Amino acid sequence: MSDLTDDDLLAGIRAHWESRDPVPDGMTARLQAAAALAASDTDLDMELMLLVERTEELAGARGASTTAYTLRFAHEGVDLLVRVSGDGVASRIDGWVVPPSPVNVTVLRDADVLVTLEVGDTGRFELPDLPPGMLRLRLEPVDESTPFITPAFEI
Amino acid sequence: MTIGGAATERPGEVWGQAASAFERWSAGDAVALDELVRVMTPVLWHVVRAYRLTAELAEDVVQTTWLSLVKSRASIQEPAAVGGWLTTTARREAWKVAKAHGRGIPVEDEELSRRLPDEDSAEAEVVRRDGDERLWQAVERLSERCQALLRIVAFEHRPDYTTIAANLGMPVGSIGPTRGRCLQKLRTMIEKNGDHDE
Repeated sequence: MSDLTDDDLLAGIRAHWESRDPVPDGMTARLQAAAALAASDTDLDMELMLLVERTEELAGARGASTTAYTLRFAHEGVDLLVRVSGDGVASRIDGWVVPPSPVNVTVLRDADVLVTLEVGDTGRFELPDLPPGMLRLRLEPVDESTPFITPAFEI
Repeated sequence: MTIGGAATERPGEVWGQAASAFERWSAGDAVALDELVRVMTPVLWHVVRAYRLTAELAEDVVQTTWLSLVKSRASIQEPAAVGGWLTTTARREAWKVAKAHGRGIPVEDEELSRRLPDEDSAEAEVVRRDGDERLWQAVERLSERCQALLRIVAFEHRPDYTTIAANLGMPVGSIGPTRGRCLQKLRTMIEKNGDHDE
């Protein structure tokens, strides 16, 4: 128990505070959304959709081990409804673009593209097997009008 | 023995990730901003909480910091500077808010706090390893001033002592020696093997 370097002590201090006073749940997602919203004024190549509604489903409605909720994002007359369900191991997203229109959907985690898929005239899509964590959806209309992007949300 | 270990990333690595994300964001990748916020928010949280702000005020300060970055992005020429820019901005804002709320770090010279360590939650107790246990108890017995300074120094990469001095209300020349004394106290307490008699 000797020869502790300053770096050892500082690493221990970080571990102490990360355990005793961690970043509150949800704070990073809230700040990502706030920063994205502020930046959307200057990012002209992308329209930020805002989260306008969040609905929790009652636990047990679809079996006790799964959780599910619905998010509604909107921007200038386009709505994106997203139903997120998961069992802690994998998550599933069911999405609806309203009014229905063909778009290309990209699932982003930080700068990484997890999945891309084409959505047809129905505006419906499903992403059955996603690793839990934070992500954003980017919607590119096939008519090449300005793409939309959601704030980060947790699945 | 190791203390803390790989559980927590070194500030230098965090700064590197932040620089990379900032560079991509500046080049037009809107999503890289998420990564930057994810990587740096924990650092900003710990730095701001060193000023003894409530959780709500601390989150406000961190949010203000991010909004300032978005507004001032063009003024940051060098991506590697973004980590320091963010922590300096957060400390300045935290200090302002702490003053306005009559909080802040006590200015008396550091001395060992006489209070016993706080009661820990059961979960916190379970995740501790032996080495951490001793170090963590020692951290809790440091003066608030030492705790604050070391918390800032631990999470920042090459912190700028001039700005730390300004918003801790200490002379610039005293930051380095105080840091050294606080670390030495910590080391001494650990080596006394968690002896509670002070």
